[in-house]
Amino acid sequence: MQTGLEVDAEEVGVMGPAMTPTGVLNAGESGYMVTGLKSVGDLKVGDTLTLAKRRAEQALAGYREVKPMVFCGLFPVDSDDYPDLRDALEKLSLNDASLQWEPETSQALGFGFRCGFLGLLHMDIVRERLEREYDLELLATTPNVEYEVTTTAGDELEVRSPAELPPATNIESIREPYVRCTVLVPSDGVGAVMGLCQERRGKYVTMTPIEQRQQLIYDLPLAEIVTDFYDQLKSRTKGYASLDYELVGYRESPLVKLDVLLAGDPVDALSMIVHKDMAYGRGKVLVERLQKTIPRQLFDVPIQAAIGGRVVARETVKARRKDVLAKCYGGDISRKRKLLEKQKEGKKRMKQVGSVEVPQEAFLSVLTLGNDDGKGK
Amino acid sequence: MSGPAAHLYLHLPFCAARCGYCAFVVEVGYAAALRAELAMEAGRLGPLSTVYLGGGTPTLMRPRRLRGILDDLRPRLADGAEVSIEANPETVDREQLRELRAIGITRISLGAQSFRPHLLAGLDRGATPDQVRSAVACAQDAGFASVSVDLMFGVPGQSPEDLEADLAEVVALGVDHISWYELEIKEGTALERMGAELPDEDRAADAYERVVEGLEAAGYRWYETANFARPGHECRHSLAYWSAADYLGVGVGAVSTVAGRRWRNAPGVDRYIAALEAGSAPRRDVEELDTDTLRRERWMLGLRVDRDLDTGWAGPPDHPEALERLERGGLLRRAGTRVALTRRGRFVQNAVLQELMEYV
Repeated sequence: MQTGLEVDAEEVGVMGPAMTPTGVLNAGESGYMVTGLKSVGDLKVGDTLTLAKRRAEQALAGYREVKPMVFCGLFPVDSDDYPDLRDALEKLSLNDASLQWEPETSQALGFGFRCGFLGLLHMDIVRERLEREYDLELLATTPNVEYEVTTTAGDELEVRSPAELPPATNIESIREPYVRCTVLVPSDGVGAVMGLCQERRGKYVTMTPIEQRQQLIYDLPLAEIVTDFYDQLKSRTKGYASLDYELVGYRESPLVKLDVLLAGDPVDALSMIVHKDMAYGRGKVLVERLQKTIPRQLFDVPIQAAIGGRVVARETVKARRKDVLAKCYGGDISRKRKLLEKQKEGKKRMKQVGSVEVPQEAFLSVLTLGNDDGKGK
Repeated sequence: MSGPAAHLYLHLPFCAARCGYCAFVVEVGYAAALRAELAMEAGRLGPLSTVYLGGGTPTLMRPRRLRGILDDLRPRLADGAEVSIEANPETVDREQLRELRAIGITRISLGAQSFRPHLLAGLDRGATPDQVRSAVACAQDAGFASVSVDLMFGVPGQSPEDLEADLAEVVALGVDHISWYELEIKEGTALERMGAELPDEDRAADAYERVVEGLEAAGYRWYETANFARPGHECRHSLAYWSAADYLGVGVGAVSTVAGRRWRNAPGVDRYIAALEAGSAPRRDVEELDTDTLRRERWMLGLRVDRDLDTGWAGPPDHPEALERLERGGLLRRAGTRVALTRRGRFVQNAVLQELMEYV
């Protein structure tokens, strides 16, 4: 009813578990319907189906338009796979109407797609399916949420990636999505959960005992739970805590863009939007992580974290000092050449970002940033 | 490039015991087979400007047999030919060294590895420091044109003080040539099985830089990545490898490169001997080297030595644009068609090669 689409029911039946035509399905029954529809995108999950001739007066309550909440960039590790990734996303969209995607270009990672997901689980599943079912090697950027920005000129913007954020001087205010998290945890895990929620800018709502467990409710910025909140929650409660969350709306937050510069050039895929008070700590941890993950190269590689042009943290990957093949005589030449070829193979798994070779782990290191900034575990 | 080879390598795979780092094929007894293969391949040889008897420990072969091999070679030697042999210090005495000189060996390379007893033990080397010193002295007395010593850095447990001691010792011995290798842990060696750990890059670089600096101060030229020589004592046989010249290798496991074709005799002494006794060539793995492979090898080899690489001869790099970047970064020098690594560049030549060439 929401789409206003009319189709012919060519066959209806029940799943039992094989498809069994019954000729008729009554209100409240579950079953299947065969139509001439070509694209699942024409249908909305949760919509009400009714007869075109004898229309229901109103759709069943509870339907909500699905809206992606979590976004990340998906880039093929091998840029030649870009067309394959597009085909894969198209095919995946055929049976997953909630997946949204549009082309995105990153200076650091080349051509890829910015994808929108219903939540974290959805994101993991899509990525996993793309890799397994379509045999693609993907690089996923840090997941982020959608921000609402009011510019000083009074315009309203929807920002889905750090790169889209206007310069700080043009921003009047930023609002970010908040979710209400319900965590069920045995009583001895309450402290750990509260600690985690506080670290992640959580606002305590209530705590209710339910049998031997406690139900904790916190309001948290969605951005704080899209990285590794769930992993942390599980690891800090020996796996006992469970998490459920739902969107409760947008709230204004003092957010800034944290840029990362490698050898002086900003790397868009590593930048992120963070709370002002956390920017310094995150920047420091991030450059330390990158310093450890980026291998030594022929020249020094300075790594800087900056907020609006002001550098808040800096580390340097020192240039290589020794990289030689010790012995090379008549009997070794082919073997030495193969060693160089093998070294090259290792380099292939790295992304050339400007003059710097960056391994994939470096991009992943941003994902787990929440771990050890501030008080950590 | 093509035409008969002027460089011959003979593999004499004998050792009394296997050293901790060794990956060579080793067995006893096969002089006749070696001479048979040499006769079989004679057509590929021109007048020989260098011969190298490597191992293993060639000096473990009975002098009578060694003499027989050299008798075969003598008519093929060009005037002033360099004939080198490798030896382990504990396997040679004064008498034997004189004999080697007498049968026509001009250059001897002694595998000392270190003068520190605890390091020698860790490498399973049989020689004591005194045996090393005495072998060097006897070799010098025997009248070889060049006496060389092999040493190692990056050995597990080698302290900066150990390295200084080895430097002082080898300089005091006054040898003509020194090969100072970084220890590699190869697959299938005892060191690998023991799980030995190599020093990290900074510590290894400290040691390497110290070796170069110490030997240069003592009057040796750092003429190749791991080789140092007093003027006129460079190993001409090795220089032939680094200038990508053709060479013939004879013996089990030996490698030859002639006219764009490389082959390696299969390992396995028994099968090697059996094949030659039956009058056929030993089993060989053959590798055809296409022009791109040859060009990349010329760069890989040519940048090892301290002489300029002529790009007119070697061919262009795969990424010529990298030349300028490397030059600006102080890793490489250019003059016309000639290219050479700077001092800093020589320490990181693999990384430089990766910038210049496409080792696919």
